[in-house]
Amino acid sequence: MSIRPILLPIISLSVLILIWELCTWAFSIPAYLLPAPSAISVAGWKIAGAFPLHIWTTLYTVLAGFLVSVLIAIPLGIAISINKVASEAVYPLLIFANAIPVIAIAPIIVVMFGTGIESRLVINFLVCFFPIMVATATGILDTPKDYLDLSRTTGASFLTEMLTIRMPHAAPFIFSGLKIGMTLSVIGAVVGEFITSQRGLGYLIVSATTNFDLPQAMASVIVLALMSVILYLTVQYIQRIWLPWSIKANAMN
Amino acid sequence: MVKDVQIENAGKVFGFGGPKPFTALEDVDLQVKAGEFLSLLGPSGCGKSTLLRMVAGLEKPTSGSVAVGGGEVKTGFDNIGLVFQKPNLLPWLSVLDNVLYPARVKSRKLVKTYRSRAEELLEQVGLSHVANQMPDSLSGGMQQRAAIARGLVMDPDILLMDEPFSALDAMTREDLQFELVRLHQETGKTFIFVTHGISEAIFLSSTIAVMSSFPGRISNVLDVEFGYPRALDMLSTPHAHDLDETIRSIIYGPRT
Repeated sequence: MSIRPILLPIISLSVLILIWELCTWAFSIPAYLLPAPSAISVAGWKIAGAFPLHIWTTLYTVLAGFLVSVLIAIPLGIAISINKVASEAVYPLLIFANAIPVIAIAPIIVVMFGTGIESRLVINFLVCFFPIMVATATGILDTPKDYLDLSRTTGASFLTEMLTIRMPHAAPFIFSGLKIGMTLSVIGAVVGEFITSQRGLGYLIVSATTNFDLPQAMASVIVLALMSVILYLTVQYIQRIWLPWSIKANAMN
Repeated sequence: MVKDVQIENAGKVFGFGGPKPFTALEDVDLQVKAGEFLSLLGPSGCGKSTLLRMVAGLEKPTSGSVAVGGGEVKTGFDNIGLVFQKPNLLPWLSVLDNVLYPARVKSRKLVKTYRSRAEELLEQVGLSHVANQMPDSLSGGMQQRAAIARGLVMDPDILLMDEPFSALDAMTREDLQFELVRLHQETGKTFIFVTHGISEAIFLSSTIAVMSSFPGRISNVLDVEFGYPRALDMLSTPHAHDLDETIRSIIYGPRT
C-alpha cells in the first residue's frame, strides 16, 4: 500500500490548522467566538482525566442503540422484502416515522420513557434503524434473476434460497447500511444526552457552552468525531474480514 | 441416467389474458434423443431461450407439453444442469464451492459426498489450480468453464446451455467448443445448446433445430453427419457448406 493516501490528508489538515491558528491570532478573534487550535488542545488536556467516563457513557449508548436497531431493522428489512402485503402495510408508516425530526420528538420521548438509558435508546433507534432496514430490503430485492434461476433449477427451497443466495448477496448492502447507521447512532446518542443526560460527551458540550467555554466544547466535539470515525472504521474492518469478496480494490473504501 | 426430451405442440404466451399478450412460441414440436447434442439456432427474439427455460422448468408452456424422460418437467425435482450466458458464479463462494452449489442446495451432507466429483470435474476443465480462488480473480473463459463444471456436478440427465460462449473472445470460444464436444463424448449426456452462431452449431451438434421468429417456431430440424470427435477442417467440407447455406436461406430467405 502506498503511503500517499495517509500522508496527504495529514498535510492538508496541518495546513488548515495552521491557517486557523494564524487567523485567530492575526485578527485577534476572542476565544468565546472562535478558539484557536492551541487553546482547544490546552482545554482538552485540562479535562483529559474526565474524558474516559464521558466517552464510555456515550459509547455505551451508541453501541447499545446500534445493537437494538440492528436486531430489529434487519429482520424487518427481510420481512418487507419478502412479503408484499407486509411491505405495503408497514413501509409507509416506517417512512413517516423516519420523517419525524428526532430532535422534535426527543422531549416527548423523555416524558414517556423517563430520563434513563431507555429514552436514549429509543431516540437512538429512531435515528439509525431506517438506513439499515432499507439497505437490507434493497439488497435482498436486488438479487440478480440469474442467481434465482440457478437456485430454482437446483431445487432450492425458499429458506435455502434465502440463506444461500439472497442473504449473501444482500450482505454488502447491509454493511453499507450499518456504516451509515453507526454514524447516525453517534448523532442519536448525542441528541439524547443534550436532552437528558448528566454524563457523556453530549452533556460535556452542553455544559461547556452554557459557560461560554468554547475551547472545552470544541475539544469534546473533536473527541466525539474521533469516536465516530473509529466506530465507522471498525464496521468497515469487520466487513473486510468477514466479506473480503465484497470489497473491490478500486472502490471508495 | 441419460434422458430424452419430448416437446409437443408447446406454446408460450407472455401476459396471457392481459392487454398486450406476446406470443413467444407457437406449436413447437421437437424430439431430442437421449445422448444427443442438439443446438437451438435462430435469430434473436425467436424464443430459443424461452424454449430452453421451458425444458429447465423455469417457464411453463401455456399450451402443449414439455416432458423430460417421459414425465412432465418440474423445477428442482428433475436433475437438469443449466449453464447461463454469463458465468453466473456466486462471488462469495470459492470456485470449488460454486461447483458444489447444487449439492449444497440439496443438503450439507451431499457437499462432502460430491466433493471428489467436483474436484474431478475441475480437473477435466483444467481448473484444479484455481479451485480455492474466488471467481472474481478468474478470466471470463475460466469462469464459464467452472460454470459448466457446476452444470455437470450432480450428474444431470440433461445439460442445458444458453449461449454460454457468446460473451467470450474468439480464441477462448474455440477452446471451449473443443472442450464441450469432449465433455459430451465423455459423459454421453443429452446436451441442448442455444446459439445464434451457425458455424458453432455445425461444429458442436449432431442435430440443429433452426428457429424462426414472430412467433417463434421450429422451422427445420437438420442432421449433422459428422462423427465425433470433431475437427476444425470439417467446417470447410461440402457438407458443412451445404448446411450453412440451408440454414441461412431458412433464417434470412433469399439474399443478394
